[in-house]
Amino acid sequence: MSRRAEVALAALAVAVAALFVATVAAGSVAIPLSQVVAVLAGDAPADPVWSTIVTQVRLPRALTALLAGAALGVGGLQMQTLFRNPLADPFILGVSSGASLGVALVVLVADGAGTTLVGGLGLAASVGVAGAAAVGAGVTTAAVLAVSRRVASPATVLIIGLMAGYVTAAVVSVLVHSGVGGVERVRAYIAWGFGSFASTTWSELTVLVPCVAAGLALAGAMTKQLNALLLGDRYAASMGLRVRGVRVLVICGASLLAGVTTAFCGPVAFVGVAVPHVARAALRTSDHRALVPGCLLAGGAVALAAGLAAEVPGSDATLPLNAVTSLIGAPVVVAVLLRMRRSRQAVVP
Amino acid sequence: MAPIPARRRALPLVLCVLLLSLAACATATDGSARGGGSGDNLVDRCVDAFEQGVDYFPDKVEFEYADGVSVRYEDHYKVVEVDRPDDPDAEPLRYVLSQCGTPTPDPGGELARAQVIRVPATGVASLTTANLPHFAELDRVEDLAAVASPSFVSTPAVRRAVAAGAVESAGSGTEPDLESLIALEPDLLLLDAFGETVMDDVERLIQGGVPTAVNADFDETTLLGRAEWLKYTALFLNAEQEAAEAFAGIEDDYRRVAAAAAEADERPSVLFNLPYQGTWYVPGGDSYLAAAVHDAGGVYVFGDDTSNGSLELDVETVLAEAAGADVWLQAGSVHGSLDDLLAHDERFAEFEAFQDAQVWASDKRTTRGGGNAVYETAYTRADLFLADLVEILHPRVSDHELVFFGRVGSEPSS
Repeated sequence: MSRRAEVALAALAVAVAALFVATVAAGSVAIPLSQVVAVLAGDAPADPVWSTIVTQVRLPRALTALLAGAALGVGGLQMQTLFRNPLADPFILGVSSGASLGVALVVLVADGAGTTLVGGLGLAASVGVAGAAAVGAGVTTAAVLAVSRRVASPATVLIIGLMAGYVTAAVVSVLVHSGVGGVERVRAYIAWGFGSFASTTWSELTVLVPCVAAGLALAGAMTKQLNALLLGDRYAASMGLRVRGVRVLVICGASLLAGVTTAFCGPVAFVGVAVPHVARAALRTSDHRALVPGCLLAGGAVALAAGLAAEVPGSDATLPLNAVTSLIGAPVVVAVLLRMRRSRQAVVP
Repeated sequence: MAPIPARRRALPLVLCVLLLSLAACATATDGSARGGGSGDNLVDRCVDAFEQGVDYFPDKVEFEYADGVSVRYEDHYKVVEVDRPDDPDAEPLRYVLSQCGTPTPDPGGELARAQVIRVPATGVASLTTANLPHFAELDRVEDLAAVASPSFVSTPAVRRAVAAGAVESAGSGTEPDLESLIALEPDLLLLDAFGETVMDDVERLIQGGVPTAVNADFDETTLLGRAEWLKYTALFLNAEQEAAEAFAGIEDDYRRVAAAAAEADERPSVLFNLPYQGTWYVPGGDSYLAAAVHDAGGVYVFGDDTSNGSLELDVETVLAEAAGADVWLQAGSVHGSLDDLLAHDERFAEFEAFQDAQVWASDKRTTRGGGNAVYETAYTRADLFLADLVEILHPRVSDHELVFFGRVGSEPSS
């Protein structure tokens, strides 16, 4: 790993730590920093409810943002390499929509025993929703990948991904409008669609943490294979790589990451496409041994920053998370498109 | 009784109007009026022979609690004004309700562009469920021709009419079926003035020849104000007499219940609703629910707020403000348990109301199709809704069986 990459990784780690602390320290309720520290140190704060706010609201929120950002960043990197397309991303390729369809089927159609009117997606606590989202994500990825191998242009692949997203979104819309599941569930589903890091609790994190950790570990273990894929299927095969098997593994890993994140946080836009470019720019490399940790850290940092902005510190309002991530991510996509056009570097990121 | 030819029926009417003998007139019209009509307005027919200077609406109503609606009576038409909830500074919506069988009014001025609607309407389509209890209270369910999303209806009398095939489906509340509504040719279409595009829908319907009026009862800031909109529905049916009687009963009951609540020594604090994906939607401090908590002898935790819509708060704000609230309303299900709520979000355990099992769900009276009386009957029967709140907040001064609310876990799972 180059010296520059090491320095950049260290800087990203510091940024993640700082943003994590800021997320725990800042919120709509003004709690003095000393009191936040006291709570974290296990002491009783001046107001007992502050302890609840810091440990039950802010810490899970910060951890969720960190995990979701890392998962989407690394998942995006894997998709970009897999599709050999610099604009691939779980959201753009319709993978998040596939995950949404999985969630919609579970939440709106399947009968949650006894919890019918509790509303909300407390059901997300069950592994069922996360599993459905991951399966939905995986099926969509595989479908888009299968089609994409028949076309050459990366732009066409993106459009196919967009169409896959529209189709799944339309099915979800039909489900919502047909009124299955009743008002409460539809309302919960719509709220989920805005995206949020703020709704996960510790019990949901017991599902989210191991799933994301497994997905990240898989990505970390496959850096060599990902590097080989970057050189093209034929070259990778000539190096002794079982391309087909690797591709399936990458799809599984990326779908797990995108799927569970979508299940718990809703479809989060643009983090997956923007983060790998931020990491590449910061690390000046396309070596996955550096990029996987780079995307992990950059993703965490971007998500924590977006979460902070969405919370609007100092006010009790919350912005839709997707509005914030789109504002950050869409310009990155445009910048990448413009650079692609200039350098005619269309296929290999 | 054999039907009387229209021309011969006109004579007694004209005579009794000339004599200004209202009692005699009531007796004369009772014979041909449908059941339930105890007033003197023409509830089911037109004027046969128009006479200048005759008051065709001897029964009148006025609005005492509702802020968003008013009515002015002329001899043979009424002028109704409804404030636009989407834009309170805009010109109010104006309707000229003209007694059928009398000349079309031409008031000019600010009324020149007002929609003229013939009354009494006897074939009403309603795209909102909020006003269905009005028809039940007025005993005029037979005037309903169609409702949106019939499976969502909770009001028993209307459900019976739907089951009997007397009331048709008019699409869903959010996606009105304009074509079938126009084809249905109702005398009147009522819909909630809710959402961004509703005024465009109204415009299209009017152009399609459907007399359309909007409901804005949800914008009222008191329960009685919201309930008083039953008089608004009555204006279109000429059922002023019935509306005045029904509302007077509701008002009396409400005052009695509120007076009893005022006697209580304590003022329990109240929190509403559950968060969705980290956002907690609660009623504004100037909403009718906030006013209801006050009238029920409680303190609403966000009562200092001055909005009448809903507030979007994050979880930590609600924890900071309401963790110590005594009572938690509209959370969970009477068919579910407190543990179900914990599975939804374990942070609920931090709320004192949760620890004390003071969590009350509002789905006690629901239908299979998803209808809930708390979204229908409760808006009209403000007295019952208030009595529920008082029973929850002050069980010692109250002797009332809960209608809309139930303690979470109080009913077997359905």
